[in-house]
Amino acid sequence: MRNKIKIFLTAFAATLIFASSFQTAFAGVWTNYYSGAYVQGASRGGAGKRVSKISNALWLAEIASFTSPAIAIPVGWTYWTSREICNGYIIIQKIHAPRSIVKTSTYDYQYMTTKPCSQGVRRGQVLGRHEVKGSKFIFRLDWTQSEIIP
Amino acid sequence: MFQNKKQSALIGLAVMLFLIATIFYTMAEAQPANVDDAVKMTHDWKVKNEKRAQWVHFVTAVSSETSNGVILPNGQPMPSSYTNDEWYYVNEAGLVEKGVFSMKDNDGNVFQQVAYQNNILINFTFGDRQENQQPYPLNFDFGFEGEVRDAEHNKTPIKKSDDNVDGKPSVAYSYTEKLKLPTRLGADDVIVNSITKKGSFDKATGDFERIQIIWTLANGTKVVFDSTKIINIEGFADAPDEILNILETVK
Repeated sequence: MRNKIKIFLTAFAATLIFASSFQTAFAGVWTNYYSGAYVQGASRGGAGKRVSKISNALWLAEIASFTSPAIAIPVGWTYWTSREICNGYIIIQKIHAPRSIVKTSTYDYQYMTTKPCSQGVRRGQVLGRHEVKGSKFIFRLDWTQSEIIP
Repeated sequence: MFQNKKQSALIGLAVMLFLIATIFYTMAEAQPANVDDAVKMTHDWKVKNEKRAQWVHFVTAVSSETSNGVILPNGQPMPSSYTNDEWYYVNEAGLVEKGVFSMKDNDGNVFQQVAYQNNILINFTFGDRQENQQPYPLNFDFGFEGEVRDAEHNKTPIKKSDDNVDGKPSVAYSYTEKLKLPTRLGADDVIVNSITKKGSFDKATGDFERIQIIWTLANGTKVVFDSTKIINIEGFADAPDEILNILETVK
């Protein structure tokens, strides 16, 4: 019991430290999609992506795959990439490893340094193909979340 | 007795030399600057180069000490040193209405090309298409003026230092964002402690010459994440046929 409390407190503290470590200057909004069908039992698969400006020097790309209501089944993505666009050019990107893990949800993030852009419009993008594998249905979804970074 | 005096004199001399060296080093590195000076220099540069109802040929040279992580459709990594050769049509309102933008390697070969017209932006290299892209202002200063103002607003000190761009003396204004935690950045997952943005101006003419983003790593090493140097800004009544022909394909 004590161990469980310790684990919970450690996880809570880690989340708190992470959340308070960066000031969000332009907190983006999560874009979430859910499977039309139940993937297992009465749970649906879910997929989320978010782009946020942290400061003049940094922006944040985030991705999550999950189940709702929460059940532990394989969740993850077959690929995900964080990318910065300026003048329509791709100027920098980070390609991340695929992931499939038996949990109720999984999350990953990448801080990106904003590059100089002569155009007034700079975009941050999160690309990725989500995968939530249930016994009834496998939810797969691929889209690019693209937001202007002021 | 005499030996003690000699020792004291030597220690005193060493301390003085250390102090002089420290002062000299500090002065050579960077001095606190008045943000208004940095804003004025950037603003004057923008006013000097303001162009309306004409084509603008804007050429910059980009280099980096890190990988940009971009893989071109031919499977090759995008070069870390290249030229942005860009043609913009700026309308009466000072907004970019159309243009053709090319990234060229050091041999002049185009490896990424984009065109914009009728609110459509197409990246021909990656087959990416954005619609509803409204006309936008052209930032010859890469947003440096606004960022310096933001830095002041956030109580981040602005520093002034002597710099050198291609052998020409210049004056640089910079500010440093200290990250709250060491953070993995870039395609190579480098751990960065702080990020410095530096704008350099020609000492003689006041022209904005270069903008740099410099990472300071956890071990103190400095890495130039991006260095963008202005090569040319020129106004024209018309764009070359080659550019107009590319624009015609934007539909």
